[in-house]
Amino acid sequence: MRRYLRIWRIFFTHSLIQDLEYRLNWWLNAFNTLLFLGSSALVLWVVFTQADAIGGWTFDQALTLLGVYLLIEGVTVVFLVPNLNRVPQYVRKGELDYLLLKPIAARFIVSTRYASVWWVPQLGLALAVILVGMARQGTLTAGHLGLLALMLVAAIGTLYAVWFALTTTAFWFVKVDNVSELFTAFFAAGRFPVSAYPGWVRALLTFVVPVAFLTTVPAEAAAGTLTWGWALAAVGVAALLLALSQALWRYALANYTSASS
Amino acid sequence: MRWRPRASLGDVIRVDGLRKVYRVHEKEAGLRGSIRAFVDRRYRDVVAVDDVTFGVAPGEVVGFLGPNGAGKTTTLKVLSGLLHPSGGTVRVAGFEPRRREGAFLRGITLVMGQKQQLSWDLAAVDSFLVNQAVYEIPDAVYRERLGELTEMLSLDGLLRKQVRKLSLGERMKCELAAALLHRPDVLFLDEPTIGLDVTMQQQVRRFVADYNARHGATVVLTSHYMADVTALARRILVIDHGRLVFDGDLSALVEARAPEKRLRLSLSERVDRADLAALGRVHAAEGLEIELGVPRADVARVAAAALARLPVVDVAIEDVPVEDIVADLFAQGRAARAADAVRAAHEAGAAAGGRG
Ligand SMILES: Nc1ncnc2c1ncn2[C@@H]1O[C@H](COP(=O)(O)OP(=O)(O)OP(=O)(O)O)[C@@H](O)[C@H]1O
Ligand SMILES: [Mg+2]
Repeated sequence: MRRYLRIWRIFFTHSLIQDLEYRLNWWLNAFNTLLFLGSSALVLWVVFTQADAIGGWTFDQALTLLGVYLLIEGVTVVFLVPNLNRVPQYVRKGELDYLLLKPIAARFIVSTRYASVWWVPQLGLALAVILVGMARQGTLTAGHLGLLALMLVAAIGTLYAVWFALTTTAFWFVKVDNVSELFTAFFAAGRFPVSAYPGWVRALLTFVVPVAFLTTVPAEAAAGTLTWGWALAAVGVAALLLALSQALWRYALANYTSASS
Repeated sequence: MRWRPRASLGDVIRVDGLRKVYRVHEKEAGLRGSIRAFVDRRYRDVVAVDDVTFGVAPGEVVGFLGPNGAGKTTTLKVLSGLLHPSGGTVRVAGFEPRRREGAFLRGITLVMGQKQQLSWDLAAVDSFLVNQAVYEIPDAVYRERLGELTEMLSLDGLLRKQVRKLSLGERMKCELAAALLHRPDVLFLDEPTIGLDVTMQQQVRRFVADYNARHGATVVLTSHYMADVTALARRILVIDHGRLVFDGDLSALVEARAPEKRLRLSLSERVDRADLAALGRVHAAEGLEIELGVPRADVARVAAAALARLPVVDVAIEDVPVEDIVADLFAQGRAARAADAVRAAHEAGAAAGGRG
């Protein structure tokens, strides 16, 4: 375990070294995030001057949701995209060979080797938005924060598992470069509370593509409206999906190692 | 050519009846072919390695020779656990490679001249640090090994440069260092000198020999450059179309395949062709430069006779180049396969005729 943390730290430092070469990018991305945040908050504010609540959510709750969305998106962009988008390339070019020769789980290296450090400011901003939203709702307590943290971990686990499983299909269909775009499109639905959508979309976003678990559930945890049933379901879904993605990965590797070039 | 199966209990590598079959799906050319392949996939088996048996003793350096597509890389990948064998058994240092156990992976390394493990955008030392963490090498040990590798490979000044700014040869040396930081006992080197110039090839060769001598590591290497193999390996394995066609000492191969030596003569004036033929088989005669093929046992006598009878300015006795010998071996394999194919076609034709 310590070894894995140590390696992750080295990888992160390396990403930092590489990203520092592009200083301008850093500022552009920070500006970009601010712009997105500002415009989204503005839209929310305009909408809420017309109605007190959307799908049973108040302005402050919706603001918190926006923060959660930004945070999850930030984690995706910083940690998941740069790694998972490379899996097809590893397979196509046989770069997996050297990873498989190391006495360490190949999946760990595949998942952590790169980080887009210049997007890190978004994480800070997102966290600030969540905290402000919670403060305005009066739910800024240790209990709520703890549950929120747990739900965020479950959300990220779910997202990672689904995405990782999708990229793993690269072992069979070598060109799956579009997976991340597809996923981002679905994920964009998470900016709004799932209950704001019609029934069948809601079902789709909960059970087929688990977007509800990514943003709505953590935001409810922050608002103090999450039921224990949903909290348990969120953790269970994350654990199940992670296990499934691991099984798929192992199966893919077994195939790869019986014929590769 | 007969080869002797050499496998004994003390061997660090034992390969018994190894077979590796790749399953590839066949696709005909053009859109129609693609559509047909999409609807109805047809598979074909490619036998890359077929019934290969050998053993390697600890500390031995073995060279793998074979033409393109012979199955050398496939064999090394099976030995290092990247591929599962389709048949036969493989043991390396007591482990079954395909299980890729931690203890096994810590004891081996595979260097592929065609692929790189160092990160393109980082300095080589940065990638080394990752390996240090992965293999859990204590700092002091790491520094000592890096110092040794730096000295042996003359890496000074290379380690802190971005890898993409290194020349091919410099990069290869860094790759070797990265692959050896955990000080493996068994080295699999797949064309480690590919694309390097002659001096760089020599450096790599000398390094491998040094490493083997210092640490008693077992080395299995492949190369298309005969000089790599002759310089490093006393024993060679020749593989052709997945089959082992020779396993033994290089000198034994040379003796068995090339019963002649070459006697080179520089003359001061032209002589009669008949006078030359009386000495031995005339292999080449260009003006005053003559090359004779002479049975090994007779070399001394013939050379003395030539000096006595001909206006010789200079004389040299050489072995037939190993390249020629191995090329000969492959050509023989091709001829045998062609003959088999013709016979098979004949038999098929006869059978068809019988039925009609
Ligand atoms: N991944 C693969 N899928 C299908 N066939 C393969 C694969 N890899 C290798 N082969 C086939 O297996 C045979 C042996 O290939 P291999 O790469 O082991 O040869 P080699 O001796 O290393 O050749 P070279 O000297 O060109 O590197 C070849 O016929 C090759 O086409
Ligand atoms: Mg090869």
